[in-house]
Amino acid sequence: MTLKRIFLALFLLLLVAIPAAAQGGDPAAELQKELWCPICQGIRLDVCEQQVCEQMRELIDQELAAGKTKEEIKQQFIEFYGPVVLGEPPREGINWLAWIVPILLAVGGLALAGWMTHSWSRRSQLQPAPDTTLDSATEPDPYLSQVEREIEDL
Amino acid sequence: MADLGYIALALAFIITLYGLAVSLLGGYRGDEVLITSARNALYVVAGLVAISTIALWYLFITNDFSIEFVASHSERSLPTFYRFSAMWGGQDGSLLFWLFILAIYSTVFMVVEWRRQVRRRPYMIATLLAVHLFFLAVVLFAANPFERLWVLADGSTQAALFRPEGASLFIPADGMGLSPLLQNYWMVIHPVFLYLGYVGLTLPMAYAVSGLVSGELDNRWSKDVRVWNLIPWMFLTIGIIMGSQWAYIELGWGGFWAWDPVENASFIPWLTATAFLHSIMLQHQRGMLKVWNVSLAFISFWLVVIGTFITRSGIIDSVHAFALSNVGPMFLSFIILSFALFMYLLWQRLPQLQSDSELDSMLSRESAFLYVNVLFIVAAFVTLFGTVFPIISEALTSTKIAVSAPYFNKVDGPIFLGILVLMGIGPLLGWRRSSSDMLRKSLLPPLAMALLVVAILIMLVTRHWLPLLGWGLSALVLGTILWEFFRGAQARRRSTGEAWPLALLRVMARNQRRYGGYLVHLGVVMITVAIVGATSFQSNLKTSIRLNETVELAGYSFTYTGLEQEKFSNHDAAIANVLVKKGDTVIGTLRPRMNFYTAVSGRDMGPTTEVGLRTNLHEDVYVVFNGWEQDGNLGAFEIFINPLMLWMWIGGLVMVGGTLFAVWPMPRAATRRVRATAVAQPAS
Repeated sequence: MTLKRIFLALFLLLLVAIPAAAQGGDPAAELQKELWCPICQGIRLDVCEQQVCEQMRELIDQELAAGKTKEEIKQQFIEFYGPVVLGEPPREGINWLAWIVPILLAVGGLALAGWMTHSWSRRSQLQPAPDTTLDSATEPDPYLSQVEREIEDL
Repeated sequence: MADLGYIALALAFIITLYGLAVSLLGGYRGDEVLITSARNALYVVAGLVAISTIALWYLFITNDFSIEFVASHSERSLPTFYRFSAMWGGQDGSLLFWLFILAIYSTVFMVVEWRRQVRRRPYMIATLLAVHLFFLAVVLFAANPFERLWVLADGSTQAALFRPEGASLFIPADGMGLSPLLQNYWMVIHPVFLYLGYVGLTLPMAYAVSGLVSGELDNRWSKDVRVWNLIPWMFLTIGIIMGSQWAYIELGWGGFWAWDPVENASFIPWLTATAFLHSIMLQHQRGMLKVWNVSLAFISFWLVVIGTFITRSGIIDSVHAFALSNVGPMFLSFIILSFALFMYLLWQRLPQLQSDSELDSMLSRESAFLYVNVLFIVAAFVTLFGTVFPIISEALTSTKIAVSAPYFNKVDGPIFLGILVLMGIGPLLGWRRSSSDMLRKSLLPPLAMALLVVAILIMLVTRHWLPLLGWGLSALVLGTILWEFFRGAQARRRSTGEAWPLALLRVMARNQRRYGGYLVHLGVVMITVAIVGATSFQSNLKTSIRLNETVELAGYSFTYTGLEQEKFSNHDAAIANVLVKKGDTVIGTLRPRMNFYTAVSGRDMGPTTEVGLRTNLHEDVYVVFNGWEQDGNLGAFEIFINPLMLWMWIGGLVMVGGTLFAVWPMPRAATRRVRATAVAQPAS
């Protein structure tokens, strides 16, 4: 089947191409995008107009010139201004909650949906339910059934 | 006028109490006279709220600065246009405005539903009046916009409804002015749509609660409630998109969504309302998820109240601001009480809310709807959790943290990608049961399209995984939508022999809900494409430019050609002229500006910026003017090139168009025939 071959070729192309994705750039610009204004809510350092952010940007340039790494400079800001500059809860102590709870919610929710579909489909196999719903009683849709038939015929 | 407004509110409060009692009693006894009286009470309350709202508008228009709310949110030089919107520039007025919209919605709702929902109607009235009662109480007792300013005997001023002892009325010569950030046309209409969305979610809740109380728990409501959810959902969508448009052009930071608490408060109920409009289809088609649907209708409303509480009580800024007014505690009590009451009603009716049918297969449209529902709800609660987390963390560790975009992007991002996957696959699955063979067949064209798009992107645009994933999934969803349109038109052509365009239009008109939904999905795809483009490929440059000198960014050149000053009624503007060229082609002159407001509140805030913007389908050229030195010989600018931003606004329009298409009443012969059969053979 030709479609399958095209499909396979595209997939192989992806596998070859993705690892080639290059990284790198200006560390000062990267740091400015990774840090957040310590006084205003939700404004990134590189676009913030506050004076304190202007000073932080200058400091980044100076420290990079002095040979410090990005991580060191980040730590320096965290010590000085607190974890606020991260724009996200630091992964330590009670703040781990902020990261764990969403994962628990997502896993729990999906597990619940999985369990619901599983148990429903098992029950219905044991005992087929009569179809008494509104739509099939009042609105048989010839076009939709036609569409569904078309799919089967494809 | 202030007295009229206040008296109208007080009367409305009393009549609401009466109507609430009478509707419940009437429902209990089945007494039509009482129920009719309760309905009339609702209409009277709505009229009184309207009078009160108009009174406040009148006070704004006539500059009555003896009223504290007017004095602190307006000024003589404020253009009339903004005096209207000053109503929602502060807490007290916005709560009254909320009440006003609730009154309008409730009236329309009861006029429409009065004959249709005979069993539910007393409890619909009671639910609506209960919500009225709460907001009336807040406006009357905690956030009254009609309070006057008084000078006390000791010379200090105080806002109060009635004259404190020994005090005299204080009328300031001019008001403090409206926050300059709100003086933008988007800010005039964006809150209106947001409120229309927010408040409208009361109606599905009223449907759900009245069903629980009256015991009318069959599947009919899934059809009737649809429009009452879709219309507010559409308004909320418009409100959110307009809000991001405002943030984009007014805040001058090159972005459109900051995940701040106010934005999140509007987004969280949008997520659950979206979940509801999907899950209600499961009940409509298969009689499933009854408890889930009733709960979602309530939760969307509940999250609206929580969102209002979070943003209006000041609890996010500081835990201490909470105790400063009674608004916070009142909201908190209402949140807890309404939840407890709803849970009680639900628990009572649980045995009657069993599913009519079972799931035939784990691979079916039903299960796709179920999974997408879970993802929407998880996204809503995760966003809510992140929004309130700074309070929890500060209370426990006493260290301030920030929960902004990096957090929400990491946490919500994967969920939204999951939703995109389901948007691509779900529509291809049949109701009841799909064979994996059939799914593979119908998924092949969209999947091939997605892979082709990714391959082209890799060759021509980027190799970063994030945009490739985002755009790849967008292509998958787009492929699915196009494939569905194609198959629908093809099926119709086979049976009628119509030409392609006609077949497509006819099949869409016959299945408004289905194809309207796909149009909405198309809008979501456009917005996704824009978000991925603008966040992954934004270029920016912060620079100072000398007069008549040029800087370059992303293939454009920017020449600073001069500074102009302009005077307006309540502000002065400094406008920079920046000539933009792409290569040798002149694109035009952008005029980013700084506004200096003259009112007290404006001086407190410092200048605001308004960006110079050149937009096209490909990218936005966005210039912010940040100040000048040396008499304007040196200008400070920040320049952004934001790819694909226009698609965000087009996508929003397509979403609205799709929703309207889905709900638009079409008086067609075919529809009438179906109705006639439905009447002749009522559903069992």
